[in-house]
Amino acid sequence: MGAFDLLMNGLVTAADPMLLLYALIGVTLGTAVGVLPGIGPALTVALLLPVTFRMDPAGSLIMFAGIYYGGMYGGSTTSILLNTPGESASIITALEGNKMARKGRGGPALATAAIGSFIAGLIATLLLAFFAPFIVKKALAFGSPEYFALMMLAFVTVSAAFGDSTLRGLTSLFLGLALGCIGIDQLTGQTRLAFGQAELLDGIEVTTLAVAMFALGEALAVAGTRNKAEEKVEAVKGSVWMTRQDWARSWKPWLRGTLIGFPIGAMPAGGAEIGTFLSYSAEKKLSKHPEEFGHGAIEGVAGPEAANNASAAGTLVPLLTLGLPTSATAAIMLAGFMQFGLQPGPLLFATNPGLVWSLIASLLIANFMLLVLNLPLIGLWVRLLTIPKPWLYAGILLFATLGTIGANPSTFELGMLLGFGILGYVMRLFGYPIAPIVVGLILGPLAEIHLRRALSISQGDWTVLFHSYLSIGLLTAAALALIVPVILRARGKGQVLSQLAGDED
Amino acid sequence: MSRFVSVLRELVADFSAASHAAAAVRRHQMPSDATLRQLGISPRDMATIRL
Repeated sequence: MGAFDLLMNGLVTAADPMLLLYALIGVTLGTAVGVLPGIGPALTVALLLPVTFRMDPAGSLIMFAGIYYGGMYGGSTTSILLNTPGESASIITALEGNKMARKGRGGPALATAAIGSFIAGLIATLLLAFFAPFIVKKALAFGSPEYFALMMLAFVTVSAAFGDSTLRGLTSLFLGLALGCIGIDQLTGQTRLAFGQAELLDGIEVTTLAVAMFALGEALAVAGTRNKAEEKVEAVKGSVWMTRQDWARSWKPWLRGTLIGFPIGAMPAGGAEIGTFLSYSAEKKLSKHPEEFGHGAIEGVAGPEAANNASAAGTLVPLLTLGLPTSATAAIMLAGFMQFGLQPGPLLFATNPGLVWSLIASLLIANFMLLVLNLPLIGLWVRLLTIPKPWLYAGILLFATLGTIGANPSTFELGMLLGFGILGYVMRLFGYPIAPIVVGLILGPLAEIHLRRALSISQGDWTVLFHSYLSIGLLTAAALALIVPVILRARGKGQVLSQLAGDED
Repeated sequence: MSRFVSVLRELVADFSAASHAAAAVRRHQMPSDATLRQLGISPRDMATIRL
């Protein structure tokens, strides 16, 4: 069966009223958290992990994906009307969007953001459906050495390659890997790092760590650093609809933004923000009105907004086909799959095609829902900004704690939640990235199993890890991703790259 | 050929700048002026956004 037939089957499944309801809940929640500055899709999905573990897996995963897409849509609203991005991926939207709003063109700015997000989401979801079967076909031939090499690449890129500090990224990763070693060794049955605690024999719960790091840690950090300056919402004056000239100036940036955002989202540690910065830069270079940039150029809203939504779909390519999370939200979604005993990757397409294709198809439906929800209800979304921030953060802390205790009623689990929550806050305070610790906990045990399996088959011969061109290529890419940024920082002269690399450290 | 190399170099520089800017904004911090200028963004405009 071809990708088109599988997608059509998925659409039929996703049209089930219950799944539609899950998608609607997901996109509504996603838009709400996108609108609220400081609260992102990673935090929201993490909060929902403990309360969804008894629900239908397809419904829960569709809801999580809806939150991810919705977050990208909603983030633009506060960027444009408030000059305070709801999401870090919407920061660039504020540059031109808020200027447009101040000139009384907030409506067209919101419209080009919403329609661009819709078009990008639609195209990128179709690209996901088109590319996924090809990658799955190749990945089904992977042996343990290739899987190990792939995970090495994921570890390095998520922690070291594109972050602001290689050392901090690797420290966070190794913390996650160490936490992943806790429990009973799956090959020998030996207890590791449990320190006599019976509760640690099953290892650290991914859900507990994810909720603690992304919900507790993030809420504490945001509450501690939020700008207390008064926020002024720009009123949406005049027509919300775009003029003919706005359409003419927007359609190309929408398409270019999609083409930039999708592959960057699929790259390990790409992240939606990179695509938005690149899209803005490209639009400024290609625009017929470069002088308008900085004063409210519609291209500067259309391109980056398309890029951040396309990036969300791009993120799902490695997550669904290889089980590789390339962003924080993807890492949390991976934890979501694992709480239902599902391991994303090529085998999931073979063993559970109904779930995977209904998830992909539901993204198409979610896009239509988001377009309908966003523009006509803009007044309602803006009202969310009147919720007092202390209420919001206290609610997150309460919901995270109750959810974790509900899923696993034990004092020990509560202690771990609080301990990891404080660790997450301290890590943020000192600039340590959070995603590598969760990725290390999730993928570390899998990488270990593949490494030991490969070495068992080869009777301890390490060269088995380099027996195919694919594993050599992946390991070489991992080594380069680790070494090149360090060399560039060390050289520190003569080239733009090294200067830029050094600037951020 | 030299045109190709120059375009490629520009793309790599833009990508590197974008990844550093992304890393900075994720930490709610301002990217450096050199990074922003490489991307065609005015540091003064960027400073007006509440990160």
